[in-house]
Amino acid sequence: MPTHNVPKIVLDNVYKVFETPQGPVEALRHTSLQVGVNEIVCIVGPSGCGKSTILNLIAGFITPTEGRVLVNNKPVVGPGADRAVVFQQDSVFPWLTVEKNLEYGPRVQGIPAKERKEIVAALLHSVGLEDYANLLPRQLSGGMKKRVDLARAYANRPEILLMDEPFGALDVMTKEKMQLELLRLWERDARTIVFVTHDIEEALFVGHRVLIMTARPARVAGEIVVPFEISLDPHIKTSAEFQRLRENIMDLLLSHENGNGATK
Amino acid sequence: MSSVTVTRTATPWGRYALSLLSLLIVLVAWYILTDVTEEISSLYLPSPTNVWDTLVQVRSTILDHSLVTLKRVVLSFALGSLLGVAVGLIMSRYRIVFALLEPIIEALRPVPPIALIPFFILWFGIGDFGKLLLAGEGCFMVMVVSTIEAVRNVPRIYIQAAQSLGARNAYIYRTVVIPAIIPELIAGFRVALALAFALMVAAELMGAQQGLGFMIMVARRSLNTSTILLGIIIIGLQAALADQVLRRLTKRLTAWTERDR
Repeated sequence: MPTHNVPKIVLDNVYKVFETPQGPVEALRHTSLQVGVNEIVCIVGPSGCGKSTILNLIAGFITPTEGRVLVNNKPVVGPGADRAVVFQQDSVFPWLTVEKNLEYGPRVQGIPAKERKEIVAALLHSVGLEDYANLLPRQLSGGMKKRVDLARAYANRPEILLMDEPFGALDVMTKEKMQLELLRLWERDARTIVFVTHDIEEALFVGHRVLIMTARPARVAGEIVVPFEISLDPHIKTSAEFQRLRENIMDLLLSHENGNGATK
Repeated sequence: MSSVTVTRTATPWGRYALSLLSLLIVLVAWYILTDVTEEISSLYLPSPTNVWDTLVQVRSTILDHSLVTLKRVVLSFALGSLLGVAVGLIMSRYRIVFALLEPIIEALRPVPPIALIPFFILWFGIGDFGKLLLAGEGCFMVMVVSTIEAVRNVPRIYIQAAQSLGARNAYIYRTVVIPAIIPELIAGFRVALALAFALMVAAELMGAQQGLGFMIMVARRSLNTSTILLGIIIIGLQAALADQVLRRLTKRLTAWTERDR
């Protein structure tokens, strides 16, 4: 079970401005948040609101203009093996077989071949890709590639999984399957997860907690602690309480959109 | 790499037959215009039988000339383009090296290597070295630029994925950048190989003691046009064959790309 009171990730008053040819663009305005150990936090918000900026900051791909980003109480200085990223676009290496893709992280860590094989075999089994181990990504469907992507991140045994609209490009059925896949992996082997999405249902289904962001420059506008346990039953999505929460979030997003409209 | 799909109505064998047919039409037209109707005088365009007779007459010397040219082309292509890839990779990796070399390369690149031939003959004489250097320089320039461009085109997401799996720069170069650029490099290699043939024959035309270009040059002095045409045909065949060999050799390296072959 997640221990919410021990912060794994802390964003402390983070401000981020991107310098573009059209002038500076404020992406994040004084954002603070915390993610507990083994907690799944979902971030929802309108597209282009800077949700991904938060992930990129934690991943270490970019640095904050002001404020601090801490992981395990230490400032993030760059990307690292403790924080795996699953992107929306396909980032599976197309020149490696499924198996070799999963092996990439463990190989970088210098894990001996025998142990590597075990890790990979176990993951291939748990995401149902055993029969595809020796195929190249181009021979797989979009959903299967996403499985490889997720399994590759897990194979590296990161402390933190950063997921940037990972299932955004998938069809509804595949998306649902992948959500279950993720939760199954998490139940077996819990990790701290930050999950960015624009799909409110997905956020409520996957997360322990949902953060709602406003449009750019983004701020955290609200937070909902999901009152039910992580469940592998998708029927929960049709329950009255689930739908009520969904509407709350929707209202919150809409009210901010209107509020910000005047200042544009 | 996505590609525009060409509508395919013919089977592979059908397409093969079509290719043969179009070649055949050119040959037959050539034969009719020269041998049959004698529409074009054999001085301006030697007929197929002229060329064949010449081939039979000079077959042993022509083999020697062809092999000399082929050897020079392969050597200059291999050395020039591999060095080009190496320098391109180093320039993409280290900004300091890039800043140092880029102006020199950009200044030399637009100069047609053929314009350098007089100097090369002056400096290195008409032996092998100057020719290898000339064709090698051409291949080098093509590959430096292709390599730098190819590295720029590597999707950022692959680099970020490797970084977040814990890989560092040198390792990322070896396991992500190099495999990712190979399809683009192969396209560059093919351009460089064709260029190596062109430059080598040009260098041989300007001054040599052996090679197909030399043979053509000698034949020109005596207006022996059928030898000239024979030389041209052999160069074309060699270049086409070399390109096929290159494609066969590299086929396995690009098996992962999404285009259909």
